[in-house]
Amino acid sequence: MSLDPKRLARDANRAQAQRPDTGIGRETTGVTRAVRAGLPVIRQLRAAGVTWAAIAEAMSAQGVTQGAGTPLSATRLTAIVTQVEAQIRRKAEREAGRRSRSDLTVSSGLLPPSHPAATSLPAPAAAPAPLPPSGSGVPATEEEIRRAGLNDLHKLLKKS
Amino acid sequence: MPRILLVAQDKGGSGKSTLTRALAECLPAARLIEIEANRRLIELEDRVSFFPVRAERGEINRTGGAAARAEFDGPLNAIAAAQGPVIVDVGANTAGSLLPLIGEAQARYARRGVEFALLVVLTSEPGALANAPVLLDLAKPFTAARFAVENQVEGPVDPKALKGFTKDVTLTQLEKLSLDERANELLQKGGLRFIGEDLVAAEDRLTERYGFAEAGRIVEDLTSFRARTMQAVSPAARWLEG
Repeated sequence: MSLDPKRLARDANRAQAQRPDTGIGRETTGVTRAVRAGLPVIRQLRAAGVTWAAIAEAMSAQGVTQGAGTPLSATRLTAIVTQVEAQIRRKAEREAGRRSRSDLTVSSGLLPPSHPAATSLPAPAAAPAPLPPSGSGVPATEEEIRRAGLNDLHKLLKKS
Repeated sequence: MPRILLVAQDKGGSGKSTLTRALAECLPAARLIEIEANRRLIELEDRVSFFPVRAERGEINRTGGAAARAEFDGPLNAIAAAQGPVIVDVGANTAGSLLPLIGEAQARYARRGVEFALLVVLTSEPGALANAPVLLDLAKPFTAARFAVENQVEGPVDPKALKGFTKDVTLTQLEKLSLDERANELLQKGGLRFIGEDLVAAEDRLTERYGFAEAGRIVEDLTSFRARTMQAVSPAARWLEG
């Protein structure tokens, strides 16, 4: 079967335009986006002693839910905050690693004239690591695995 | 007067978090500080302030250790702000860097009325055995009390090696306890908190799931384990209580 390249390009562009503009292919709910955007505030609230449950409730009130209208739980919120923090940490480590690589250090005097602004451009935002689909049940971090185990235990004990 | 108990052992897998949990069971009002790469004490929820240790090795080398020192600003600030008893779970490969920083700030902490003690975990594993006296020495100048728990999970420690720990150090033992496999699984998932709070009430559920005999073993083993770990840390808990 042969592909029509023009149609392929047109359909792919249309499909792309209809997707949420996140740059993260597997971010299936808005919770992670909301947490990433609100992380500084969340950290301030935590530093001020506000509980995870209260923050989750406040986010739910603004429509940040973890499923079809299910209020965001404190457990889910802390898991996502941990994920986002880990992504930020990994990104910083990758950038620090790149800065320390002598093979990537290029003297500005050697830059070709076609790249005059290369050293003054802000670094492009690194794409965060792909996340597991929300609610897929696939733990992504050590903390998520631990939380999944604790949730299993609470179900067994009928705590929740 | 705020009392701070540092639970330390730079060798991983020695039982620090288990003993931290036992201390938390002994003192339900105590706050906790967890300095780790990842959160472990999740079942303790808002009692715990978590500070990730994340300084990347290359960054530490480039900054002559400044990156690592700044990494500890969070827990050092939290200790300075303590209002009551605080248990600090110092993650693996961290105490050797953190204790000298606390020592340097000792006079400033003392002006705030903060007192320190150290609880070191030792096992028969050579790395853990060698690290314990190093940490005890590091902490000696700034601690009001020092404790060591011999965790016999990997067998008893050679008595000759223990002789050096007895002077000025309160030493207790945590005997190895062979847990029912399912009990151990639940322990890994839930720590010690659920054992005291929920286990007995959930016995019917466990019986329904695992049968009468095994449910009985689970309850008995976990209850006994919790009691023994709390016993092992009781001298340190008494100091922390003041």
